[in-house]
Amino acid sequence: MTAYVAKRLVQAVPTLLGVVVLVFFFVRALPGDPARLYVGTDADLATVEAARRQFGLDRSLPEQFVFYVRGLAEGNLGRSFRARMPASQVIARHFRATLVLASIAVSVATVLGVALGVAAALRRGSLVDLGITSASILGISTPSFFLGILLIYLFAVEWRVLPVAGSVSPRGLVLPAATLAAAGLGTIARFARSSLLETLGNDYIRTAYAKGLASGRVIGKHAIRNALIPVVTIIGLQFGFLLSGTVIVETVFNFHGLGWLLIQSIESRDYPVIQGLLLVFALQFVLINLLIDMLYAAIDPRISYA
Amino acid sequence: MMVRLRRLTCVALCSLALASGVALAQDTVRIAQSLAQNILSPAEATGLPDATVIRTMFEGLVGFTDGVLVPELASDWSANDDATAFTFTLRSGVTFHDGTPFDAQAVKDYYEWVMDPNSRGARGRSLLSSMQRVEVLAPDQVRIHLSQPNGAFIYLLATSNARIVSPAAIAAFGEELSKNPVGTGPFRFVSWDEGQRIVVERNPDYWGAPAQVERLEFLVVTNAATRVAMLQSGEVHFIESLPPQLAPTVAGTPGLEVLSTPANFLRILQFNTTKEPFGDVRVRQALNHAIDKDVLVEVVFGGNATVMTSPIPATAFGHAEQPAYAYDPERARALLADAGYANGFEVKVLTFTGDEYRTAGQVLQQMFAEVGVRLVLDQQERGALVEQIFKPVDENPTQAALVGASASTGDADLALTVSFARASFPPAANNWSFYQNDRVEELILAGRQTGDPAERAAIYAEAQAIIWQDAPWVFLYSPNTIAGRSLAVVGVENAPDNTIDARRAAFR
Repeated sequence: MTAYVAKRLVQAVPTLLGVVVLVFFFVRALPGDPARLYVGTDADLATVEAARRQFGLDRSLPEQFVFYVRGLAEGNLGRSFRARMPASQVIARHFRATLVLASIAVSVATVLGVALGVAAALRRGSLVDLGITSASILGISTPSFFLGILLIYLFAVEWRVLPVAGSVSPRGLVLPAATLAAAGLGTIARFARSSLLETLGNDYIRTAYAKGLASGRVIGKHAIRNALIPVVTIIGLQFGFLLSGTVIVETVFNFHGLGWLLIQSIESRDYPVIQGLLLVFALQFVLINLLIDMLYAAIDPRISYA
Repeated sequence: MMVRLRRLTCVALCSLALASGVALAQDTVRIAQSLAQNILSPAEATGLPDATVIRTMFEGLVGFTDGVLVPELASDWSANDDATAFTFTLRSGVTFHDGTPFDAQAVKDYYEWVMDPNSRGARGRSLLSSMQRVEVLAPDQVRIHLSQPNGAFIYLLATSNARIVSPAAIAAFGEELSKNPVGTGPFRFVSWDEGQRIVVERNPDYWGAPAQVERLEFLVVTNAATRVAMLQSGEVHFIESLPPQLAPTVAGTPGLEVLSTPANFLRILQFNTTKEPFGDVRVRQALNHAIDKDVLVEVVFGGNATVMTSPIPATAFGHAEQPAYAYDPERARALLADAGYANGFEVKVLTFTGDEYRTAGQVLQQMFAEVGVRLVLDQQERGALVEQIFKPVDENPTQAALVGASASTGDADLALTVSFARASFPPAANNWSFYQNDRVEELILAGRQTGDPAERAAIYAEAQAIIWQDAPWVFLYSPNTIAGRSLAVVGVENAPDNTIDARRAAFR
């Protein structure tokens, strides 16, 4: 197992290196001068030049690249142009916010989504199934900005029980987490339902029933475990997307997470932060994919990476 | 028993908190800004969000209140006849927030730091570049000598970039000065959660009328609809950058009001006069006659803007009203025909993304079409637009641009210089029209040779008349600064430089 993890991590290195090179040149190919944007359109040339020197953008592109890669080797992402502190510090602060939000949203979506999906599958064709399926589709297809604004209007403006702003207090997490959970919940419920139905149609389930096992044991021990595998994949991917920051929900709720930071950094052409963020996103997906594969093995004893 | 009592109190308090929405303590005024603050060191600060916060903690020798030049740390000042030396009498008994006394030596030390090419105060340095040396005459008297006459210098000293920092703080914090603001203002620094929130509190030792609230909080809320919701929910008391289309929502909410204030800003369609057909003054004048500016203002701003009457904002010192370019498509067509464009032409207009610019662009498009000019709107993200528009003349592909201009010092000198002087051709400054006129150059110089307001006003009036005739821009409108405010609060106002003045904040 350890050897497998090590191998997977080594395999990820070329991917990450590719991201480093691509992103470095990509951000610099964008039109827009970070120094000019930083000092403002009414600053004189000397001020622009001073900022450019301060950012190290007066050096040649190869020099900048070597400087950046050398920094990375030492675990240094460079200094944020805008926030004037190490980019890693800026990213870490917003990462914590996003991690909390994404974890809450995914946990809620997983627990409710799996429960509803299983309930729908077990009562296939009933009103319960119809209700859950319709609600799931509604959750998936309601744009998050709309749901977000609706929740804000009801809970913050009309009833005044929760704040609009997500970042200021823990109570602020409720509405954005609910908005994010709604979409994930729908997807997870749909997958759980169809996966469980598919599993229930298998021969070994029929065998289990035939040998007289109680329905609870058949479903609990044989069906759900197998049905969970595609669901775990979906949950993992959802978590990955949420961890990369959810630009729209973060904007609507003024939640200062990674999505918000990415937009701010692109607008101000804060190269070190953009580079760092994209690297973090790539790393997150590598790790989450690895984690999902590990979970497969844990759920299904036939899967082994030894 | 104790436990239960405590629990009961908590329940009572919590429900109280719920009942009153989220606006809890009556000692903190919360303000939502639309952009993140970058720097809290005045000489380095770049943007409007910075200036809003800096105003609460720092003061200049002079400053602006409600757009009027007023004494701040200097109780009195005078200029010599040729505007090369300004003498200030300082207030006594003033100390910085760190306890350092404010006196003539502090003024000298601070401005010498700003002028030092190795210091971080590049913005202040370029703004005050005519400052040569600072002379201490007495502990409460200081004289600033200029390298060349500059009658507008007092306006430069009144800007946010010229506000004074404790020299002791500069020595103590060095590179970290921006994160440790120490001034003399009515509020002092508490905390800065970068990109999120800045908190300042009442300065108990303030020399003037003390602040009327304990604390101010500046929150960064980039989305306009979210700002409005936060104002409606009571989470904040004041929101800036209220889009005109959301103003009726705020005005219609009980307990809230809309503030619409004239500002030092302009919206213009600027022609690149080095590109055909805009080298011809008849074409430029024709397009000024082709626009019904009253309709434009109504459509884009619901009336929250004023039609321009001069090349500089009406709020700036020296503004002189010019005869309007009447809306007259006939005359526009005739002028175009005269210039050899009876069949019109096509023009690509560079502009920002965003509702205001798109709507304004579409209105111009329709009105230009009536005189045979086909306008193609080229909306670009800010960074890309700024890069294109700042290219030097032989590389600059821009034909025309629908952009903003301002008079950030509240004075004609800077407004005319940055937009119309030869020295301001891109990439140096904002003369994106590449406009040049020898008489205007002379007048701008002449305006600096004297400190006499009447003389300066007469000089600037002549310059404005020439530029108005030459029409390097289609002179459009001056948008008001629109904000939303809770009726629970007074004394938080729009300043004409598009910042917020929260120094006099108080609860009703």
